[in-house]
Amino acid sequence: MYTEDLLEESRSPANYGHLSNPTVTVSEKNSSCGDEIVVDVLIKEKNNQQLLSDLKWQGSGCAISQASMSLLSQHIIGKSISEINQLQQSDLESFLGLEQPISYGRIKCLTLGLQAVKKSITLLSEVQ
Amino acid sequence: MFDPQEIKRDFPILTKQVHGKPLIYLDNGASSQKPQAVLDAIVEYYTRHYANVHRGVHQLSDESTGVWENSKKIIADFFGAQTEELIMVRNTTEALNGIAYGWGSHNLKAGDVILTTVMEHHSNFVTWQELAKSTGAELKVVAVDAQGRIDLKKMESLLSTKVKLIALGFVSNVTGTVNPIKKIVEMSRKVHARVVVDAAQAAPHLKINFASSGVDFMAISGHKMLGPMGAGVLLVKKQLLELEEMKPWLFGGGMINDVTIAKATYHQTLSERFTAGTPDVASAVGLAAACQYLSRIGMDEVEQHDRNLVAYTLEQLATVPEVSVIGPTLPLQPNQELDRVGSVAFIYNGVHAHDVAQVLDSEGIAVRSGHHCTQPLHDACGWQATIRISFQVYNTIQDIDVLINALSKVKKVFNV
Repeated sequence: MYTEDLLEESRSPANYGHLSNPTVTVSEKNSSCGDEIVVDVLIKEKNNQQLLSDLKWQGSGCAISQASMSLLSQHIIGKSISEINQLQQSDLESFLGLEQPISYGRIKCLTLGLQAVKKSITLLSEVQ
Repeated sequence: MFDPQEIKRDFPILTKQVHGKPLIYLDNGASSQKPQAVLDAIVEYYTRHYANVHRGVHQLSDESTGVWENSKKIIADFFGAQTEELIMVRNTTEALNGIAYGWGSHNLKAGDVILTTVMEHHSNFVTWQELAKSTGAELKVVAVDAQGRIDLKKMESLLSTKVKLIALGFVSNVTGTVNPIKKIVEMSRKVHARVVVDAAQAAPHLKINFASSGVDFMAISGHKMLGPMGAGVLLVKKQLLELEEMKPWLFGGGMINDVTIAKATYHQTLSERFTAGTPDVASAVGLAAACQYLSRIGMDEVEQHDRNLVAYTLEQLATVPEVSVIGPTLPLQPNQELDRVGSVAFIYNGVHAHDVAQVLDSEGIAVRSGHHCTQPLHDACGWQATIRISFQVYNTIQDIDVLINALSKVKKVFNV
């Protein structure tokens, strides 16, 4: 599971930090291990579509949760909200290059970042 | 002293290979494996004696009732309790909730105090939070020191006649600390508080004598002590049942004496009063077989074996520079025994607990990682997550050696 690519991704994650002008900020916690990811997202409207125009995140956790969030962030910047909402666990598994589905015990680690991003989208639609 | 290598042969699952490596099972604090004797007892019950209990006059019902009653007697004897003091439940959590509903809701009121500690498992913590909420009582939480021992002075300072209940674990599932139950029972007497002891992590390793412990309620999970899932034990001092200070919290068939349209009276046999509906007889049969299995080994030897494993693990982990061990590593006084049994938890500096556990799994080693249902303790101590090695009679010194070796793989993979 711990390929060199995955470990490198977790050690030097992409889009790590804060946005100065986020549309919304959310945090998501993995209650089984205390891992937490905080996501700042910037949403913009283009051609009648809402796009995630920028994202930064911070967090601490295991190699899986950090690498997964890093790869996810690279994939979703510039994508529409509806596209992002369709992302699933299997997409994260393919971003990480896992040959087999992740074990039950690590699903929360893998999906923590995606949950945070989806939560931010839900929050945004509730505000609007 | 028994030979754990021989004991291993009694546990069919321990011949399994995991990721092509022999299984080293060190997650016994979460749940233990089952010896063939327990599996056989359950199959024998379903194959030869199965019917509902206390409900028919036919032969099978009678046999099944006999098996149920006999199993309860074996279990109660094992814990030094009277059969009437034994209420069969699913697990420790259900036992503790039973105390909250059956005792707490009838005996607590606004202004009363429930005293517990920060080292408790969520089952012995959230239950009292909820009871405090529903009765208006106040929950006060005693801290632990850097070695994972309860601050007894603080506990004593919080004692007053307002304290009606003291709830704490016998053995911590994270630090492994053996709490001074005798001292705490003595303290409780001064203010006439009832004492609840969560013995989930003690029962697999220490001889329990409910009668001489002086505690009012004790909760135990059978599945952590070689028994099946679904068989838990709630022990309640007989006097509390006789005086109806503790009342039934589940109602229906089996627990009644007489039912009219206007009202019901409850079963005259004390523990039957707390067995509403068809019980899980097979699991009780399995737990009784586990008690007999442990008795054959001898609980004194079981304890000694565990203490040897704890001592060896502490010694070996001390040689790994990246590891910080959690909980007591030295006795309180030089001439005393280390007040720790059952497990050794640690932090591997620089690598998250889940990642350590994942690498160990790739070597066939099962350990627990996370907060072990003790978020308040992890928060208080500033740990994000920890790794726990926990023992049973089938674990050997060689198991620990394999684990220590595997930790070098963690170092290699994560380049720390």
